[in-house]
Amino acid sequence: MNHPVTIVIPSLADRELLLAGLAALRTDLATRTEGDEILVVDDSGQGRLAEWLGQEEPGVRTVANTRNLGFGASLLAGVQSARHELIFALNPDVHVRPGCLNALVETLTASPAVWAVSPFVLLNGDEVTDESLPDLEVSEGLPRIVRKSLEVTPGEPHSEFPGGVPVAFALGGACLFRRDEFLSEPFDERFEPFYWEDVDLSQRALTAGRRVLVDPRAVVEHHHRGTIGAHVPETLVRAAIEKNRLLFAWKHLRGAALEQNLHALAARVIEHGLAEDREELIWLALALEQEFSASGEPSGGGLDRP
Amino acid sequence: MRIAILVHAFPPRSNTGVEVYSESLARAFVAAGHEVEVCAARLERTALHLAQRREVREGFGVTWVTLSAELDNEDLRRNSPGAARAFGRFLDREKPDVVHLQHVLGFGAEVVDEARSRDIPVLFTAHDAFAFTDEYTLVAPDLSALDPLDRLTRARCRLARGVLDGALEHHDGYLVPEFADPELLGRVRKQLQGPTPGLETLAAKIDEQVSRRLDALDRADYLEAPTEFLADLLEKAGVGSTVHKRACGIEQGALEELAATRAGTDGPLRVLYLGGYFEHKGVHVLLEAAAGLGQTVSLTLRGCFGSSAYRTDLERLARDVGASLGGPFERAEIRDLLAGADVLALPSLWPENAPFVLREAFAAGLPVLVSDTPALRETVSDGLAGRCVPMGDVSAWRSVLEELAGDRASLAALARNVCPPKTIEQDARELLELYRGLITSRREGCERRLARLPRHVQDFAGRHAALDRLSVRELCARGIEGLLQLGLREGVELQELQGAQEMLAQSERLRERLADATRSDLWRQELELSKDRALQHALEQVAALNERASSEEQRANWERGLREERESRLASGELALEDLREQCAWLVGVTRAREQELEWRVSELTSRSEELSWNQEQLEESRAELGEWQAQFDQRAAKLTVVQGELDLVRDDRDRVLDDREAARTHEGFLEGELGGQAEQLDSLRKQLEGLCAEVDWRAKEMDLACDDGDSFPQRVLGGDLQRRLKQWRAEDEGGEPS
Repeated sequence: MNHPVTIVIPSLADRELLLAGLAALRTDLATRTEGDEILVVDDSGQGRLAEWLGQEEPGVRTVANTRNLGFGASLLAGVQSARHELIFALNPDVHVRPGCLNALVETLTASPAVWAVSPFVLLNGDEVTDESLPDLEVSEGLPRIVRKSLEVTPGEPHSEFPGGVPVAFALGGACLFRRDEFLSEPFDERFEPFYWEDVDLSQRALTAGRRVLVDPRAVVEHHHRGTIGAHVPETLVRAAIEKNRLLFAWKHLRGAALEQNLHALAARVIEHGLAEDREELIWLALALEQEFSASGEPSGGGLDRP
Repeated sequence: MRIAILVHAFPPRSNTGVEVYSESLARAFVAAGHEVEVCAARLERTALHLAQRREVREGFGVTWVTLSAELDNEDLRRNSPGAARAFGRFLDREKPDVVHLQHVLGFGAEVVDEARSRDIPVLFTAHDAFAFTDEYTLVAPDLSALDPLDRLTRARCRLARGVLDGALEHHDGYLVPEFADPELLGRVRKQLQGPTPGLETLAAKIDEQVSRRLDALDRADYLEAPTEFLADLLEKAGVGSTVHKRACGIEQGALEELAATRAGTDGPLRVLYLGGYFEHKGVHVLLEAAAGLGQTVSLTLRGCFGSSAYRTDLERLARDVGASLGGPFERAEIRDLLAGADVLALPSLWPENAPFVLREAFAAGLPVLVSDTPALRETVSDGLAGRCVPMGDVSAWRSVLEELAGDRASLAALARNVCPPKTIEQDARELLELYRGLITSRREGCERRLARLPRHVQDFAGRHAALDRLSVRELCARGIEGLLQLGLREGVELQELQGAQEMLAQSERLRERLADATRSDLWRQELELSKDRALQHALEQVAALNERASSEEQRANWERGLREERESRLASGELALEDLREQCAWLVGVTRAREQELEWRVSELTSRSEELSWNQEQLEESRAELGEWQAQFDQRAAKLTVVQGELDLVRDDRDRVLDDREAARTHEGFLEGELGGQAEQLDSLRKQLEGLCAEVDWRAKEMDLACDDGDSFPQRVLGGDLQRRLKQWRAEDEGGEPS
């Protein structure tokens, strides 16, 4: 069955990085005949990237944001403009290896229960260091991302999970999902400006009984170029991560786990107040501000630890 | 606006000028609707070093930072270890928009960098010369004037104070020459004037400390001083930035009424002194000046006491003039003290700067008598609202007191000219304007940084920056309130927070104590680590010392051996010396003999000299003769050269002949050889010839025989004709004429 894919790449201004990513992608797409589409979302807010791509890569479609919106909103803009039902969200610093897309499509379309599939991510192309198989654990009342302790050979199916390894979330920077499902329930804006929005989205799917997988047959290389870190100070990146970790906890933890979270935070407020450690108090204040400025109540939980 | 004021001390612990001014300023800012946090040092030997206690009074917070370490070390007392970092923690906790440094004594000038590293603008008011010298009273320990910018003078003062430290149990750093023990004064002056070992090293150390302090203060965003005198000194000391002159204000309150209602009296001239009983304040000058003026002058003195020795001297002087030394005064008493005086006296023996007490007197409409110094002249114009009296001149002070006691009209004229000083409210308004400028420029920088971020991050970054401007207290309150709200929404009861909120709200001090406990835990950990490190270091030092001891022992053994060797050398040297002595005696004898010989030789020499003169003449003659001979010799030499040339030619010929002869001999040899060969050949040829001759002879004989036969044959056969013809033929063959 024919499953054409729209590859949506939200991008800022790193042209060299983008060209390298597109070259790798084109190699993979050459093995497919479904009429896939590459769509770059120019998030520079100035339209210069789209203009340049029009000349350099005429086969690539572009959508230009009139102002810089960030990853989540750019992905949404790209998905809205996509021509195909299957969407492969891709960061510009992620390079696909041949065979990646076919494997992902096969896994996603194998069952309607599969909500999203991520490829196996090798850090900077290193064969032994990966950023894959994410799992979530709750420690001292706070959710933390850890790697599943599972041996995987890149490019080969896992013997125990031939149809894909179940994971806690699909990486926002490299995952295949269905257009309509994403549009009906996109990223939660409270997780602005970045990080944890993909964890939240997957968690919602998992809570709804769907499956989120990593297919080790599909391999990508994540060539870290600090897509955010290059433009934003470390203090702010860390603050965004920690704020969103708290928002995620309050959104998804329930029962004893939420209770434990709130007691742990209460202890930490006193502790940090006495130790005059401002940073964590600011993270908490940022999260609380956002929690109570949003109108909606937290949606159901999936990380309950009775 | 949230304003932080840093000051070295603060009321009620200390009630002198800068401290009281800082408190007034804090009140004025609060009254103008701003938040104020004061950070002040508290010197307390028994308390935990760097412990912080915050209290709230009259709408502003005061954080006391305890400084208890190294209080006996003069350098470290000025720049207490960790105090600047403690101020950094205060800034992190309170997050002020601006920092105003009133005095950095105890904290050190590094507080400027603590504020700047947090992007908080800093304003520094120099109230004295501490920015560039430890001798910030600008007088030496013997109360003589000093050049505060002279590095060696600074070092000398330090050494002189060291003399006081060693000699006196309590002192304030000065000696009044007329009261001091002459021996001690002599020792102090020796340090101040004489050549002192190690002076340059100490001067270099002080230079480094002072230049570090000055550089740090120079990094403040705005520098100001209340007088031209001090601003000028700061600039001369090397502050790169402009030091702005701006007078400070005072809280006038009830003093204004006094000015309006002040009336003269006919009694004795009521002279008031308010300040400390320290030598450089010159109270003894005032007391000495009042002596002999009897009931015409009444002195009221109030202030805190300094060294007991000076106090004893002052008490003696005070008794003589019927005055008593009143103790420290409360702020509330000032009004009554000023109300009960006709004139305020400030007989300082140091240049002063802009004393607050003068402005308080002016606020109360009171004229002043001050020492005549450049700084004080900026506040007091002589003869206008007060009098400037030569510094330390007792008779001049006495004259002025006498004159004013006897001429109340002059006093009234002075009082009429008193102008009210700048109010603290005016001062606060000016400062707020300055702060706004500094904050705006800092905020603009912050906004520029925000604008450089990706657009979608800017809102978040703005929220982060806004929260980062809150104090830890406010952040805690937000955290607690938000979590309680969240708990309420989620049905989770957070009792611990309710308790904490109540507890922290009720007892700021408890919170501080808990915070101190947390800090002291960290501090203890650091201390333990540093103790471990110190132990390790000590062990290493012990090992190094053992090693050194061992090498010293080896060295001692070596030196012992060396000493023994030297001793034996010495013994043999002594023997040798004895020998030498004997030799010397012998040499003396020899010398005498030589002297006699010398005399003889001298006479000999004289005769020889005469002989020499004669010889000289002879020599001259010989030289002339020699000249002639030389000429002849030259001629002969020339001839000889010619002959030599000829001889050479002859020699060449001879050589050639010899060569020829040799060649001839060789040839002769060769020829002889040849001849030998030829002789042999000749012999053989001769033999052959002989053979041949023999053969010829034989053949001739044979021929003869044959001829005979032939001859005979014709004869015998032919007869005579043939024979004859044969003879003819034979003759023809032999060349003869045919016959």
